[in-house]
Amino acid sequence: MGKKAVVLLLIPALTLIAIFLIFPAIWVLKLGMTNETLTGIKAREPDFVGFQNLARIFSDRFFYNALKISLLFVFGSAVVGQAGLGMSLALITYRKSRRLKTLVQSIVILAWIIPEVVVAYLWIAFLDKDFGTLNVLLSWFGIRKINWFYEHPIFTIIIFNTWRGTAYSMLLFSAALETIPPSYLETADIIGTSPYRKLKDIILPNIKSYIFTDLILITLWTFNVFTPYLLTGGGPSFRTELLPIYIYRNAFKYFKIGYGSAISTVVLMINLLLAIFYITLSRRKKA
Amino acid sequence: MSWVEFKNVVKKFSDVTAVNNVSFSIEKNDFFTLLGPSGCGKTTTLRLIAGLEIPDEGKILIADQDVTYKLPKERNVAMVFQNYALYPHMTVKENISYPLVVRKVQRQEIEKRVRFVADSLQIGQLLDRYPQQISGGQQQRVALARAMIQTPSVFLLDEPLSNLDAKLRLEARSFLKHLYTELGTAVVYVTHDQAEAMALSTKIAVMDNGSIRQIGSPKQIYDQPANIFVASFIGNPPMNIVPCKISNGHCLIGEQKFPLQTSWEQEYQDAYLGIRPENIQLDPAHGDLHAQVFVIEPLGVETIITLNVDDHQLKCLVFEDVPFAPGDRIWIKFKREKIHIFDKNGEKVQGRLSS
Amino acid sequence: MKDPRRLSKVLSYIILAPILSFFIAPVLWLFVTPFSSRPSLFISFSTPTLSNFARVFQNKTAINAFKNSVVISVGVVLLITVCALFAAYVLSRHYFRGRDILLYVLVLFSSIVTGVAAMVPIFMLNLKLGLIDRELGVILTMAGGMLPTSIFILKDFFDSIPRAFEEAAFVDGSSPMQVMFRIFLPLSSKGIIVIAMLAFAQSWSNFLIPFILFRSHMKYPVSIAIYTFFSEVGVPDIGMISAYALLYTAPVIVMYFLVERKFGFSFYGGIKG
Repeated sequence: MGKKAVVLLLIPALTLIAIFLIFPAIWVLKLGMTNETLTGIKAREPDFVGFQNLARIFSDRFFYNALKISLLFVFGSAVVGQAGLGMSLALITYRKSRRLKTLVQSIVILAWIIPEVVVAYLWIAFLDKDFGTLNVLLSWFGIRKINWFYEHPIFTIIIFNTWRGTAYSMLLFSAALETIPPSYLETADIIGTSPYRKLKDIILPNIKSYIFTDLILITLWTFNVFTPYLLTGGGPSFRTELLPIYIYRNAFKYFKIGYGSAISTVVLMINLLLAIFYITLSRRKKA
Repeated sequence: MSWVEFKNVVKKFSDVTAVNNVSFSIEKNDFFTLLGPSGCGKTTTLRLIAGLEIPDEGKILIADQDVTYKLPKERNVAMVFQNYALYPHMTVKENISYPLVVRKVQRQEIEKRVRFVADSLQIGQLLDRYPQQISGGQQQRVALARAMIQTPSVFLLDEPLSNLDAKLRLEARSFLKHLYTELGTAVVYVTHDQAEAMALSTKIAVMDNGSIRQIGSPKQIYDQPANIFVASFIGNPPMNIVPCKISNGHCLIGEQKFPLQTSWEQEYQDAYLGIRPENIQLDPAHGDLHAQVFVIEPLGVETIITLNVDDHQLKCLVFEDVPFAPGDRIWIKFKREKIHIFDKNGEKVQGRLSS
Repeated sequence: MKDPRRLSKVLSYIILAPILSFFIAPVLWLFVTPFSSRPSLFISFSTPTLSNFARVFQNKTAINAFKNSVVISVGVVLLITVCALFAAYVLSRHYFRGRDILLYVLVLFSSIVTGVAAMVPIFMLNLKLGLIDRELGVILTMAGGMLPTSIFILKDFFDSIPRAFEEAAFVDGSSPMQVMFRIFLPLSSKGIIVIAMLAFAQSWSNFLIPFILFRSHMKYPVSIAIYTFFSEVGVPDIGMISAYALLYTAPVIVMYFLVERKFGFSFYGGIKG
């Protein structure tokens, strides 16, 4: 292959990536140092304000609110919810019939692949105070109707996102378990190892790297999830305002492009840390 | 009373019958080998003894106890897997001691017993290494050590030599045979290698398609195969099997015929003659059948000669110098007492001395 | 039962049942309500009807949004497939200095620059390029974001195709073009189908990018249309929305299980994000 052909074949993809993926990530640094707005005079002639935006962010109680909620959301729905439930499902279906495994996986995957706007509506319907399936079912057992989005907003979006994303962890852990030779556990069976010791002594040490991979990836993704906005719009009174929703509110509701960009910068930096962590880890695994 | 007993055991996997009505018994001092081609059900049989599989029908007894539905840990067996199943995150020592750790044996006792088995298997200097850091032969010994430390009633070995290269395999085979005399209890061994089975076993069960085709000592299996399957599975090169007719006390192969030793009253239109390569003698001048030398393969100690007899090919094993060349027309002679006759279903038939 | 293993089996079913119910309950509504003659937010089975679907087809906004979604997804699929095919082929078959660094940078950016984190600069970029409220802007933005992952998947796939196939063809006297179309493409069709379907499913489902880049109702794809249907004030037509949502979801589900059945489940870390 000639040099010319190489360049020619690479150009379309690289141009697209450079303009629509890499450029925005770098440009946001500059935008974040201006007081650009979407309307008004600052839309035309924004001033350079340097690190003022960043300084303001770190004294903005809404930022700390969003950060706290995002951390809770990531810890609750990704680390505990998705990874925990995914691992449980992978373990329960491990060494079981293919049919059972396919059934379980298909059902869990369904929640993962349905478009987010549909998923959001499904949960709005499911949790509706008066007519939602959950409350109607609970009322059969004499439990009063609960307004989930108002009474337990964070808990609700955590449960929702656990439901939404468990499939990935389950599939990854299932695949990881398949890499353990069956004879490892059969040897343990013959020796008489208890289920708890099998998990601790044999299964977990053998899939350790997969667990790290999973935790970093789902943390990164969950951190960047926008779907709760479709469920709650960030409310009630900012109680489910995740960082992405906080960005959206500032940039597209208050039209504060400069300030929104500065928050974006913070989120991108957090993403960067997680990604470097992940790539270093996966490179070491290969070596 | 026998030590391990199978009574009419059947095991199916969906619609495949892996083990079909198998019965056998093993004594406490037996080295019992399940021998057969891949997919014949030998490993399933071993796993049934271990309790890793549960039979659909039949009974399994170990030391006079019905263990058919018992969990593996309740059977007091130890198993060495084909891939050894050494835990990669544990050192050799941790691997060997793991069965005792799980059973909450005292530390000092574990220490003592690890020392003992490691010494008798000559792996004492490897205890702090990880399985990936030692050779295949050493890994195998570690796996054996982990089995030995459990002092089981039965040792189950699933093709433990198949992951070793040819040279190491012979060495490990001798070692295994020596070790067996020290174990003092029954060994059940699975292999597809007939030479391994012959070299190690006190008793061999030849399996095919889920059924046992013959059980016996290596000598019985070799000298008195019950059917064509066993006859052609054992020996290298395997027994020659040639279609023939038995009539009037004579054996007809193609156009030629020769008299059998015992007088045969029975007549067989479709039968098979079986003769091991080393039981064919070559002669330039006279013999039972006329043949033509096709290929000569000298292997050092012995020489394999392929002969054409009419439309059939026979292999013949010679330990002396061969004075022939391909193309030579010669005579062959069968050792009469080593001739086997099988009926059209492949089962051995006996001649009767007529009075 | 004589077999003690049965117990653990039964136990695992007992644990599985509530978990699976948790996963099924919210989705069940999607498959029941569109056919219900008295649709409500509760999952109620009643005499089946297709009238909800009929109302979808009478709804101009709904039909129009469907067309828009098709345009966007087809655009993204074509763009991604062609660009990724070219790039992955070069990256798999040609070594040049800096290739590994290039790959590293691509992985890095594709994992950190999510639509969510970069929504502000993405919006500003489209604004400056005059692409706001235009399909082209949405298509290019989505394609740019998804391309690195598609390239990795395809490159991985190409790496698994032995070079001997092409080399044999070259030795036999084929031209580079012939090798590409007669040998390489047929061998890699599986990988190409996977990234095309992935590109379709992701662009079809995407909410945020069209949400920030489109302004006029006539441009909305289905994802935004559904959102406006259920978030607008007034009494929503639950039957119509559910039928519409099912029509919108069906291709994604069908495609996913088709790919899975046909090619086995291929595990790609970048499938979401």
